[in-house]
Amino acid sequence: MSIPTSHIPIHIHPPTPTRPPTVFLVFTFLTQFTHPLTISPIDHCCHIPNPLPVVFGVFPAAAAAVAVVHHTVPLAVISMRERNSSIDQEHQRGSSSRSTMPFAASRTSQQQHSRVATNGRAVAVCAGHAGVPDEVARHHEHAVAAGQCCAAMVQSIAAPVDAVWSLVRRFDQPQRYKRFIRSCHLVDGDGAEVGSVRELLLVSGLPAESSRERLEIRDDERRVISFRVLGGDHRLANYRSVTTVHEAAPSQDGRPLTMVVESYVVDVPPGNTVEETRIFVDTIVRCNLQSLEGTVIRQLEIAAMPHDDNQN
Amino acid sequence: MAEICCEAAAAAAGSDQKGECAGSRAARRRRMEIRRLRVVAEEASAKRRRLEADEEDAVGGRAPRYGVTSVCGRRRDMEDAVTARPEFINGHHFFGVFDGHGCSHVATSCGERMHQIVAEEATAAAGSSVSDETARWRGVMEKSYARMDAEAVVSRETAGPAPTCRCEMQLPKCDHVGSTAVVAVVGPRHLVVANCGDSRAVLSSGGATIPLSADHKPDRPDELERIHAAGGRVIFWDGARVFGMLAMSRAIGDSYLKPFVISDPEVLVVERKDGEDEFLILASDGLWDVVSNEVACKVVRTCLRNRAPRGGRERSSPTSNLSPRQSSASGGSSSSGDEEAGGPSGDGAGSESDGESAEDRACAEAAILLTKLALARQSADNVSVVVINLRRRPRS
Repeated sequence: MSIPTSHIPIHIHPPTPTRPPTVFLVFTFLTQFTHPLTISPIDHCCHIPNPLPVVFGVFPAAAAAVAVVHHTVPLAVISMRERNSSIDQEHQRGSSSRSTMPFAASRTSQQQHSRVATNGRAVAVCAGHAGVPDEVARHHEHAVAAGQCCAAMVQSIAAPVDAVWSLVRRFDQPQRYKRFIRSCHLVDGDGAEVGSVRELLLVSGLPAESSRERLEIRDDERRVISFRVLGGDHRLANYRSVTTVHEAAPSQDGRPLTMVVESYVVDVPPGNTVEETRIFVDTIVRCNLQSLEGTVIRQLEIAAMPHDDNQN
Repeated sequence: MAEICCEAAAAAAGSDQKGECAGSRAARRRRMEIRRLRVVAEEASAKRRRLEADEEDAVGGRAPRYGVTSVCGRRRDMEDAVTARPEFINGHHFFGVFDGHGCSHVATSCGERMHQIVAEEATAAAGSSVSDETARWRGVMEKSYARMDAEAVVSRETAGPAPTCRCEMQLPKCDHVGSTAVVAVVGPRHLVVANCGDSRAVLSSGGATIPLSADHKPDRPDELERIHAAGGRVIFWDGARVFGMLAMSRAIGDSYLKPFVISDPEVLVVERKDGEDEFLILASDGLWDVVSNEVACKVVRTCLRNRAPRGGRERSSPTSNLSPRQSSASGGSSSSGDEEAGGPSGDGAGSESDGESAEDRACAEAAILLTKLALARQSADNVSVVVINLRRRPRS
């Protein structure tokens, strides 16, 4: 099976005083090229031959971000029964997560503006039509600079949305479903609050030893989690990841179906191409999403067999 | 800094009695082998009786002398496994080095099972109509590696968590874990070497250094072509790696990279040349990354030469400063947990003559010295070494 080569046209826009500053967004998908051993995922793959630029001024962008936040209707979430204090804490954490988004978006826009003014180069693609479901597309819009690459991957899982989210949301225990992690230790925060920092030690045989990561977003209402890589022994500088979990339309037999979208943006390391970087990161992300599916399915199977005490 | 474990060769008879119990199936196989020996032709049985009567060779038989080391080195964890099984089938001796990555349980599983699988396949192939020795052994090895690879997928469940296995969470399967596998079968007339991954086998014969395996690196031209033809990619990411992830193009396990990373071995069958063949070295890339084939053979040759002629304990040697550890290791008092040398060598060595015992220690010293050299040259990996003396034991 061959891997399609994505050609991303580069537009040069030299800054002029008479033109408003521009911000470009990028999304790209690659088709599946490995054969998962478990249930086959339903991939939404899309290539856009004619990318369209999306332009925001600095202040209009901030305003738009705020407006979008205000107009979002929270999805109904049925949580497990918890004590009142826990619910209150959860609510506060949720509020904290939400309150940081407009600020983060605004700051990102300003940074992007300065970068564009400096080098005047960027790549563009219409995120709204890139296969990411509309209701979560906003979370997967990354500000991408020259020398960076960006992609998103989708995994369908035949399981209830809460079962999937309960694994994805654990910033302090990513090894419960992610591959390649040998151990995870929190070095700042409790793992639930934004700003928590974790130190991952990775397994042997990989071109990386460790990774230090900060929790940027965790929204249990919208089921969004995001982290940024601060450092570590690896070559993925300025990596930022966003994962969303949402309920898809049930399949014909009425069984629940959950859609997981993971997108990222990262610097292209010196000596490598955009394509190579995307292939490397996609291999890891795809492996983790397939592992997530396998882990959830296995947990549900175990839960369906209460007599199997040995497995619990 | 480095914890070193070393064990000299155990006598074949001793290893049969004192080796780890490999299960009722193995015991039954041994009884079948013993029963078969009784119905061997009169000439063979006469030769066997003569061997039994030979006091100096009574415990030695035809098993080659060998030495093994396996050390963690500068890695956080020990993920190598080494196996030595003299007389694992009649007249044949098994040696293997397995360098794990991702975790230790695939390499551990190889260390425990590969020789059993090869024995089963070799026994089954012995009755086939294939008269060509090379083709028969190639088939045995290819089937064995395929079976071992299939077992690796479930190795955590069957073996239970190995002592060094750290897969804490109950993942469905650890498909990012794998191992190299370089295996040598020393027979009366042939050397069989099968390799998968980037460990290596090197033969010294007539003073020449002869590689018996070729490393499976992703940028090896034929491997690169095979991977691309299968739709995979090799990306230079801290070295050439399959999808930027794995630094070898073939391995046992690593299901997430199949069908690009395969477990098919490259098999080489060579005729033994008495009077020319000196020794065989099997080792992981923790050694070969920092020591060339020629240097390794020179080191081993020096050790064997210094020890073989006289065998006196007073004789100085390049590893004389290792005597205390050597003595301890020879007694079988220490083990890395991943090493299987067919049983404690102390008992076996005790019944051997001084001369032969010294030669066994020579192999052990050679293996230790190679390991020390690798660590001194800043090897950043586990180091596992097997040195096999191929000179026939003289009959008195």
